[in-house]
Amino acid sequence: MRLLKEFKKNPMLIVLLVIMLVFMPPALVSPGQNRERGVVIAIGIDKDEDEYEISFLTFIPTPEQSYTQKNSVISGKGETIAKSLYNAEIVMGRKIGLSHAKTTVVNEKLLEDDVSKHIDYLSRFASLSENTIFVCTSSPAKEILTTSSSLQSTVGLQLDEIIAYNAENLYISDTSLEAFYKGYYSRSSASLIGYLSLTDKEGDKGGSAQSTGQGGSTQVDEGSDTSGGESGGKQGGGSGQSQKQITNNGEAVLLKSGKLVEKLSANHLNGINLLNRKSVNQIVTVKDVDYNGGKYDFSYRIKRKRINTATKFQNGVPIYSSHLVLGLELVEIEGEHERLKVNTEFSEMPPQIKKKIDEEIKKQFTEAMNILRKNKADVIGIHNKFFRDNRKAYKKFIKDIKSKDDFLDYVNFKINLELKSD
Amino acid sequence: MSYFNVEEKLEEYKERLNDSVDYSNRIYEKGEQKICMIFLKSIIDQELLSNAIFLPLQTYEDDLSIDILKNKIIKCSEVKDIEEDKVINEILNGRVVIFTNFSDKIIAVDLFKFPTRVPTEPPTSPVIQGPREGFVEDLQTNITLIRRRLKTDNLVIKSLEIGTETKNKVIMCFLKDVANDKLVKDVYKKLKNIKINGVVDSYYILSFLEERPDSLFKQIGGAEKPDIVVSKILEGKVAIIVDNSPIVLTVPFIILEDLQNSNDYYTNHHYSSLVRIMRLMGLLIAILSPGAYLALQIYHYNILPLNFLITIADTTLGLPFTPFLEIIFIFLLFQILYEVSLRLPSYLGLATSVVGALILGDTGIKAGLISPPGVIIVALSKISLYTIPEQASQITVLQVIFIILGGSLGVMGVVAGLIYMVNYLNKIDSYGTPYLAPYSPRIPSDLKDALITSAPTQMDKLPKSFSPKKSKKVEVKDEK
Amino acid sequence: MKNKISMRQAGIIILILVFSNKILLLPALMFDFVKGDAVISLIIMLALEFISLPILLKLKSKFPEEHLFDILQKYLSKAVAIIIYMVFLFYMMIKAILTFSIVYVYFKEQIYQEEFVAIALITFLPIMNHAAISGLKPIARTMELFSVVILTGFLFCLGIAVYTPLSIPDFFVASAGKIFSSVYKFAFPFGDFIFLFMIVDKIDYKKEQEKRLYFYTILSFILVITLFTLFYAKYELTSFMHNDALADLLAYSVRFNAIGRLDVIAIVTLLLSTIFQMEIFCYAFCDGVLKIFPLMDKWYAALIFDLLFLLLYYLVIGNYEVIVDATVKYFAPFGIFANFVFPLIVWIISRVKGRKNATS
Repeated sequence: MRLLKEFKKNPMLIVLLVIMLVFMPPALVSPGQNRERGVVIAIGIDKDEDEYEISFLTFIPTPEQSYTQKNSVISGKGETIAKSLYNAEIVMGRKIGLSHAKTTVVNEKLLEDDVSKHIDYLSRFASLSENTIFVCTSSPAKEILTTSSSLQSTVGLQLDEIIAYNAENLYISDTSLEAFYKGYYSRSSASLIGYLSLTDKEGDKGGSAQSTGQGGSTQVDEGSDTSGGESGGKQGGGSGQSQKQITNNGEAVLLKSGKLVEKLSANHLNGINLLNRKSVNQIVTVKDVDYNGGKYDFSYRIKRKRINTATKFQNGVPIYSSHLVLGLELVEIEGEHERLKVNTEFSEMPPQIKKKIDEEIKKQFTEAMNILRKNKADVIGIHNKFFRDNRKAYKKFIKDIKSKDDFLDYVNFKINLELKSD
Repeated sequence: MSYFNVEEKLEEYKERLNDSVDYSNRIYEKGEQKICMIFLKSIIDQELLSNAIFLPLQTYEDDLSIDILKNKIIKCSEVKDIEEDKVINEILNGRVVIFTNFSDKIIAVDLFKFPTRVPTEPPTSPVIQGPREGFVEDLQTNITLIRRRLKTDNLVIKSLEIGTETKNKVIMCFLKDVANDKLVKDVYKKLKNIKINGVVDSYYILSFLEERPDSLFKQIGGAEKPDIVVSKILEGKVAIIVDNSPIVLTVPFIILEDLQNSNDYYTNHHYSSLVRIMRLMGLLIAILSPGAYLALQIYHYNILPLNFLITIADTTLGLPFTPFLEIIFIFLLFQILYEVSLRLPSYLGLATSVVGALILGDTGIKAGLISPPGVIIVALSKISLYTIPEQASQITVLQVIFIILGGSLGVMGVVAGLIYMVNYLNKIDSYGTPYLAPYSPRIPSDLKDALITSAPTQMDKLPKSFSPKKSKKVEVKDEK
Repeated sequence: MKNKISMRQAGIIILILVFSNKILLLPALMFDFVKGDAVISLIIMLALEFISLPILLKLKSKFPEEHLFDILQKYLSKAVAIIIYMVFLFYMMIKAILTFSIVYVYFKEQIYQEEFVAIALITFLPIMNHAAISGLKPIARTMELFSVVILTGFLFCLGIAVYTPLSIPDFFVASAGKIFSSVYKFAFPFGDFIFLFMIVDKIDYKKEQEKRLYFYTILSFILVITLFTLFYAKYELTSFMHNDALADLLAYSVRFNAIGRLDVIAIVTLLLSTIFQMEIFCYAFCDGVLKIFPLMDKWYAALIFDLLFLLLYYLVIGNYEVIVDATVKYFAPFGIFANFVFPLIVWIISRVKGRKNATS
């Protein structure tokens, strides 16, 4: 009774006392979560036969005052992702904290069947943010992480900087887990994710491969470097032998129901991106144009873009027509006569160039659409557009055809270009 | 027939005042007539005594009577008859008590004087611009300082005596046409009921005035400058001046008052809004930052941005302390340094700051005892505390509580503690005024002089929080 | 006015209550059921809920000083009043547990990353009890002060969402029948005006301030609808995967990585609004208990709340699916009662009273 009275008089003091008695002692000796958890910056998943290998790029604290990040790669194997993660935890001796993971790299092999099954554990694992970058690679994911850790700097960050750039300019959307799932659950279950590869340093021509430039980017032979994956130095990044380097050619892979169906080159992506409002800065090059008696190659950069898309059903045929207004800027002229002046003469685009560009862009677009059509993958929201604008007709149409996946086959794409010199 | 046996009286009072060294008496004889004076020479003006009493007495030729003595001889402003049982009291209050053998009346002459300071700028609230006078220990001077600023017949100055031993004079000051009647009555009642043996400083009666004396939070305002007190009286508050104390108390008190500063009114109001918001932020940083930092470090590494996490992880690696102990250690270090620098004479202050900043801080980090982020967080909160120096002691206690909460319970502890604190503060009504007014509850008309201030020309209303008798500062009369 | 709250404070209570249970899990649940049309069923439910407000004001004007329990007792006999109050108590208790479970899971997964029931309970229960015991006035005042923080945090979360790619969700995908069945199914988290009915005697009613109450109600409705819409627009088809709507709205896109973690804003907003909701539920519960057992000390009422809370909570510990499932499957009638039936009863009562006055 006396206790109750005391409690009534100053209840919060008692609560504070309880806190001090019960919660404070363990907290006093707790080293803090940042020392109890392995802070993972990037995740790599490989699959070998029935075994998964999950690798973590973790950050290792170093008692320096320079505050640079030192990373190392730790991996675990197991029959399931959960098990391999558990094994990796044992190796690390810490619980793994995924909340700072910014990148997830998966090996192509995982994409052989529905990848969402494999990464289910990770996306359920609540602390892995759905905004984690999700990319696919031809080489073992572990090796990508090893390479990035050996680059001495915060490559985990660099990696996502590169990909963020791509997301703005190249991919239809972010290449994140979220974007993958969005595509996965969309009407055509198609999603687009980024693609990285590893190359030997010597054989590489330019780190600038990440540009959106056409054709010029280095093509990578996928098969060549996967063999030495395990043996290549783990921590040192194999500095003694051939140095590896992460290359981003601006490629992407197309997934249908989580399965890899097609690898898209930067060129294809450009075609798809024509309908992407945000994606600008692409360069269109037209070759061998007759101009003033000489042959020139002209490169134009897309500076502005205005897109008007309309959908309709004409005689039972779905028509997807887009009207593109492109503001182009002449950036380069290559040819025999060097005297052509960029600034003045080309304020109006000569008709022959216009025609060539028109052809070029339309070719790109058709190619891209053909790929989408072939794979029944709708990554630019064609279904949605029809659904929204012509709901009744769309529903009826879908009902009439065998599978709604085939819808894309029936769609008639029309593109209408209006080119302006900027 | 003699009314008093003067010699006997002298002996009697000498004994009653314990034969103190400063006890003095003089007997003046003029024939049969004897006049004896008793006083404490330590607290009276001796020059005035000889000029105002002795000199006229010696030059007076005729027969003396008590009336003549009172009205013609003694040249002093305050001369009064007293009862015999008050004699000791009067002597102790710096009066010269006069017995005669020709009257049964006792006279007390006020010659009270003791060394006082001149009103100087108080060290705790210096101003850049604005009046520099501060209150002093002398009650009379303090009343003068207020009276000089409030030339109105509405000003009421009421007096009481508190303390069975010290017998301090306590004065209540308020404007009778503004201050709420209930408030005045309540304060008077509270003052009357104070039972204490001595009041050395106004802070002695402070907790008697509080509605919740056992509460951590300050419920009575205190000011050392007459301009501040006068502005508060003008708002309808009651000022309480205690003799021998340079600190004047004001009731009711709201927390906003400590965010305000007299400087605010002497500068541009836009600037003062900014400064007040800064003070609030300082208050929050001071209270919450160590607790929140601890919570983040122990429980919520996942909310920290990666780069900050790396910094923390790098710097805390290899420390002998766990995060909790580290913060407590640094906190103690700062608190000790603070106490030391307060007590040390100023010429040694430099030495402590060198020892504190260089040796303890820098070397502590280099020696791997404490981590730089920890030092920064604690230092930040310790410095922010002095954006509101009036609340420094309360904030320090709160810091400790929030360190315990944050360290033991994480961010939930911190937020829950904050809510509990605000809830608790909302329960306190200081003499009918909500403690967190005018924000909770919101009193729209008072917001003009809250965190964001309006131009003085727009502040034409008296703050409603203190429920004043009239609403406008100046009642405009119709000119006809 | 002793122990009365102003109209503005009543509005803020409604504002915070309307957020309850709706800003974390509900959007995902409703999306799973009716896809983008969840917004429509939300609007229907809010519109139905809105009807309570004029009824409340009418009741207040008819019975300016009387407690709801006394009104019910006067018109419907004591037994009925007690039964209705029992339902209310149950309703408040379940709501408290529902709110707690949902937030608990969010905190467990996102913030603490470990079990922390004890910590959660020791921070929630004493605060709730303290608030319930110290009375409505301090609660309302505290909420008034913190409502600025909650609103700012809420708007911030909504604002960040605007900077990520959005596409307006498709409406009218589901059939009308399904939309209405979702209205029935998810009725439990609604019906927040019941609390205002319970404290109807403590509102300092001023005719000219009625619009404040309307303002805050409409503001809260708009905010919740905006939240739902933005959430669906941001996550589109994957909305069902995101159980923490408010926090996930704040989730930065890949592009925002440089800023670092902003979660702390969502955390503080959620924590604040949750604690206040729980305070209100606890207060309402204690108030109800005290009305049914008028001789009881309020300390014991709070103690009863604690015991029941702990008991019920431990039955569904950490497993919010159980409680969520139960609210959808079994407790929906309570929501319907609180949302529609009860206001109707009150409306009839105030009509009767009006007529009596007219005849006499």
